[in-house]
Amino acid sequence: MNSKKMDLSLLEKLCCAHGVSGYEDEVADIIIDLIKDNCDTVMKDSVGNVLAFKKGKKTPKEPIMLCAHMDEVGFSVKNINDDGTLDFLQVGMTGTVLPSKRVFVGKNRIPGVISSRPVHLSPDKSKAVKQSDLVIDIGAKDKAEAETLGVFGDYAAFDSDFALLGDGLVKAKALDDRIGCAVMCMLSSYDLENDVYFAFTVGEELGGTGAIAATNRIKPGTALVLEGTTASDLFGYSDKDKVCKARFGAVCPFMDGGTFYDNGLYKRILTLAKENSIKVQTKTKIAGGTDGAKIQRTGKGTKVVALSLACRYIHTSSSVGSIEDMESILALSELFINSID
Amino acid sequence: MLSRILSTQSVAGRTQDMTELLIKELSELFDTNTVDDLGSLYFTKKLGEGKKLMISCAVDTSGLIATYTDGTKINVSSIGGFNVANLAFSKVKFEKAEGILIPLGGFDWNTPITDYAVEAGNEDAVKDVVLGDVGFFDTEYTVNPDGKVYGFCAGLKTCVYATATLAKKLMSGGGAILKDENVGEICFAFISHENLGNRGSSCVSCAYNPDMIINIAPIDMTEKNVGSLDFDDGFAVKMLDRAFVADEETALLAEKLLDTLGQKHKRRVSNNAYSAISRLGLCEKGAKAVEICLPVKFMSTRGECAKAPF
Repeated sequence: MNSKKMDLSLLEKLCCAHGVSGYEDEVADIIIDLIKDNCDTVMKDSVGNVLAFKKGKKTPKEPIMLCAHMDEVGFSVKNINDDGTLDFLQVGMTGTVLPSKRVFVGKNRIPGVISSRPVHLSPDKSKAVKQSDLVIDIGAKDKAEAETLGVFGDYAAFDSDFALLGDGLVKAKALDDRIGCAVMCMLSSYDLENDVYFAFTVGEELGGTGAIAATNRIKPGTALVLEGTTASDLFGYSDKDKVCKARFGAVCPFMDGGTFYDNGLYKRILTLAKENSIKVQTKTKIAGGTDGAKIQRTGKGTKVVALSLACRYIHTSSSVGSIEDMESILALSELFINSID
Repeated sequence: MLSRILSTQSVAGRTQDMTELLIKELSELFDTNTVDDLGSLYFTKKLGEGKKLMISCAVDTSGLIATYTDGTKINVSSIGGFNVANLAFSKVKFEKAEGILIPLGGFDWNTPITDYAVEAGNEDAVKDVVLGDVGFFDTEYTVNPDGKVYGFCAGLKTCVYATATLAKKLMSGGGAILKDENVGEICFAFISHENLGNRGSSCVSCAYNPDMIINIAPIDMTEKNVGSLDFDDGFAVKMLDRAFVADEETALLAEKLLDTLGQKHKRRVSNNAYSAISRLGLCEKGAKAVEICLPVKFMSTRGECAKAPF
């Protein structure tokens, strides 16, 4: 019997792993280990995508591909200052969410803190901190000491634990898109009606290079993208500006900043949700983007639809999502796969 | 055929009605017709030995998409790039509702689309609207005796008409005109998702893999670098824009075909970077390409004007 409950320990394992864009190996290795006994083939392609094939009860007319990206927003060290602090580039974030955040640098997980000029000494306290004014402090006395740690050019990921929050919420880094990866890992253990390709992609936060490679290799006819998306459901936003809301179900967008999703597949998801009493919502603003943009227009083109988790504080060290919403995504994904001819 | 094309809706992502019309008009002339996963339609015919030529145009217009409903109002976002102020107070039709596009605050040329809504005046109709439903501007087109067409997206629709007419003329007599130019296989493509950032172009190219491409597109007559361009100049053969350099051999072929059909043309460059031509050549082996453009005035307004060729 296919479990309907979200495996939180699996999600925790994935969220706590480091996988800043360009350095997804740690996450890839965990995923390969999790799915290798469930799938008929598992491989890592030349750009680092993990691609798996699972035989179902029948072969659909055209391949079905599920896609979730392994990479998370993070940093890379671009310079070591004379005082031992590290200048960095960021992937996928704005500077306003960074001061005082804890990070781990590199495979050896050297602890650090993102630092800026003390607030009390800022000439204009009303101005947001620019990213160029931030450094990572790893406690090194000077440049020489920092250099011995081998951090130049290395990545840095948020140091943020996985925790339950309130009634049915989860707080973690990288819910975008370890939730998609977790759902796909769980689906790989299910008895499914159709053959399915699982594409765990790299580089989504840098423009979707992994998705292009995966699509060129698999050549799907239908693709379901599993993602995290922005929920701005607090702070007094009007309903139309909330984009989507935590606890209101899986998010199935009709359009976002990169993709005009296939209308037939979008309506199919809404129908499946209604018929099976699963909560689903859509996005009330055209915002964000997914691997769908690249999948849709690579090669001969693919019909694409997405299911996303409404994530508060996405692209920060502490994103928050609802467990019930995660289970809605899991249930709808299974129904969707089984509904394809 | 021009009036049938003008009266058929084809907002990006919802081009099925136009696809069906074009299949009715043209399928007898070709061996195959295919609609791909993005909704692009292409016809192919084998003529003999020689080059694979694709002649294409975009088929989707700008429009609106429903993002939220509130009482009698439908909040919207735009499909395609246009200044919504040029279309304020226009009639908009969705599948299950219709109304007038109004600014939610006061009217201002810089008010973003997210501060507009379609006022349907009817809560029951709005309740039936599904978020993601596409709305089109209920435009009436005027065709003057001199062939000038006026109406929202008249430029694009006239290009669809031009491409379809080109298909009829070039394929008459079994494609003899094309065979004379060493074209061994011909494809006419009506490409969808173009108003969403030229997304359909490379998919059609990858599927068909042409050697050469002639794309037909509108060009804004008022654009600075276009120089002087008038309706009576005929087609503007675009040799250069910010993302593309035309192939000379393909440009000469396009000009020869236009000469054969008695159509005027003039070479031009453009400051534009958003036309499909830069993506069309992105097939497996790469394709040589040129864009031939119909001059358009008052682009992206209710009074957009183009002159139907042929």
